[in-house]
Amino acid sequence: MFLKTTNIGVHRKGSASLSFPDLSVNTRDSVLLLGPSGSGKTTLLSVLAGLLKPSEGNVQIEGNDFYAMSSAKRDQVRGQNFGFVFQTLHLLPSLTLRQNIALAADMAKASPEDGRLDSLIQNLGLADKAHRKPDALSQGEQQRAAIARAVLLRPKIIMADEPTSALDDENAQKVIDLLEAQAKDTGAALLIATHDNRITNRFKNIITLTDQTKEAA
Amino acid sequence: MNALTLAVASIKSRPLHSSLCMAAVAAGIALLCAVFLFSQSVAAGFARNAQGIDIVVGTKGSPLQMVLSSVYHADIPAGNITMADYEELRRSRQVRQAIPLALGDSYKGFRMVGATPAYLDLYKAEFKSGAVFSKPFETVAGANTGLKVGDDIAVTHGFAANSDDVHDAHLYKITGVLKPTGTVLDKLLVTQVESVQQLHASHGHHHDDETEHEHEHDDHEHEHEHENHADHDDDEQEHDHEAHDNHEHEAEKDLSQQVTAVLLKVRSPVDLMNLPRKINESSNVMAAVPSYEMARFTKSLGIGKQLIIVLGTGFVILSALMLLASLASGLALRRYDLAVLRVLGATPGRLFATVMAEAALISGIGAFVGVILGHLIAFSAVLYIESLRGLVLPEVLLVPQVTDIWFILLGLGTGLLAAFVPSLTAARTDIASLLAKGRS
Repeated sequence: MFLKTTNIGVHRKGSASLSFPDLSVNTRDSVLLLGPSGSGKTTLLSVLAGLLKPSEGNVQIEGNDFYAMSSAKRDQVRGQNFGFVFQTLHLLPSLTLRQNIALAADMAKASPEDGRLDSLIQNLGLADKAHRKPDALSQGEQQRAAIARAVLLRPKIIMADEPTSALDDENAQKVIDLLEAQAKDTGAALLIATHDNRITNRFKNIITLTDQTKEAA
Repeated sequence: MNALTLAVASIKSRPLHSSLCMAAVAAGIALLCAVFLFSQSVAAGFARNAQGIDIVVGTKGSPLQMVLSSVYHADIPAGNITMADYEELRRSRQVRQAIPLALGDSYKGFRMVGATPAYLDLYKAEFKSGAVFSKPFETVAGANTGLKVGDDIAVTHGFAANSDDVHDAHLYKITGVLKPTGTVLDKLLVTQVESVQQLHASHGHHHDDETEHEHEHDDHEHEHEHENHADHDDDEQEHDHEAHDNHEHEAEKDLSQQVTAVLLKVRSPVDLMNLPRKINESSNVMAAVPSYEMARFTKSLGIGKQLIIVLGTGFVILSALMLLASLASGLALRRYDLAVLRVLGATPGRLFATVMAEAALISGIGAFVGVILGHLIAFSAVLYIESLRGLVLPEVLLVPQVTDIWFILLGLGTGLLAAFVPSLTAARTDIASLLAKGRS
């Protein structure tokens, strides 16, 4: 088991207490985390990624207690084992597309295997745009660059936060295709957090979160 | 890609902000650096040119004017003293060396100095060609005069380059040209003290008393030669028989028996303390210590210097605040970028370093440019302030100094100080809530 949670609860000042169903994700699993906004999807992703220490419960990564590690160690584990795709993509506007993708390796202080960066850019059809800034790229190109960045280091899990909600039907399906293909290619688990019902039919393993703010109120 | 690459990319992505911050840092550092270099070089220039001159003795008046005119050849001499005064000083037990100076004439703006060969030794002068003067009207030319051995020159009265009051009765012959000394000597013509005395005496005999009279007063007021001439016409009778009178008071008028100033070197530091007072109390001449007068002079300039230092410091502080504001606003825009970096595995320390690197680059480049500007400002100041020419070597101001490193570190340090809080904010970014809020 790569990632396993038990009794995760998050209480933060100024926001509703959240508790989450237990979760276990194995390599090559595809898991859909489905829930409306306010259900704490991003909060759960933050907890899973070692960015937010839960108030209760624990996260095990490859059998080790994630939050028993030092913060620097967590940063390192995250950098080398997690690939992230954000809804708003978050390519750095000051860097070129190629630099943005390479950033994943630089920040994780790891090197991708030789030729990985260029073949990824090639395979995702971004070769002629590699030296452009994100501003000069289409939404689709930015999306592919963000996915390339997430999979550069062949992570063990790809986490995508609302990857499709800003896209039309056709592009939403394309992005899921691409994420699945890349996950398969890199042998990674795929965890997609979304409220987008258009893609639920593509996943067997669905974990549903409820809107806990409404329950609290 | 490291913190530096990210910082460079960030600076490039906000060129206006970044360059304004750099400009502010540069302005502050430039002012401070320029003031420092300028006052340092002026002080060094004053000291270098007064080397070996412990005391200056001349006619009573302004000690500063006397020092400026007879040591730095920057002001006009106020008047003359007698050869008898000079002899008395020369024979004093406390005096190691006394060099008489006869001033008042110039050639194309280069001042003619009647002196002794010892005057050349004060500046450790070496000959590029020719040799020292040995007869009246033989002259040694400073390196910057553009004259060569064998040239005959007619000097004019006063120090203006375009004066038409030419002493054409006697021509000076250049017998030697000096190598550059980096002192005021480079723009002087040096001859025997007797040459100047004779020229003026003979000049006086050639013409009527009125002309001689004019000469004397020219020494007082060179800028107003012709007005003086008119003003003093009615004093004429008083001086009718002066040339033949050996009485001390009257002898002042006999230009062949006068010198403008005497440069003294004393035997011991105690003499330096006592001799000026003794001279000032007991005789009708005045003694001044160049180093003391110049210290007073530069102190009186100090208000302007302090003003510029305050201004420069103000700029440096302003630049720090600008940098702080710029980084803070930049970080507000880039919070997501920083969050992404964290998600990609960067430690908080790395985010801190990234923001600090940006500040270091901006303030470092700014300070570097500022130091270069500071050198150029000081250089131009020395170049364009007429009275400093020859006293201060402008080229020296273009040479990098060890202190430049301190100014760069000052700019850099200020920038890093300003960046500390924004950097800390960046490092402490609450990624989870930022990501959660970022969701639409």
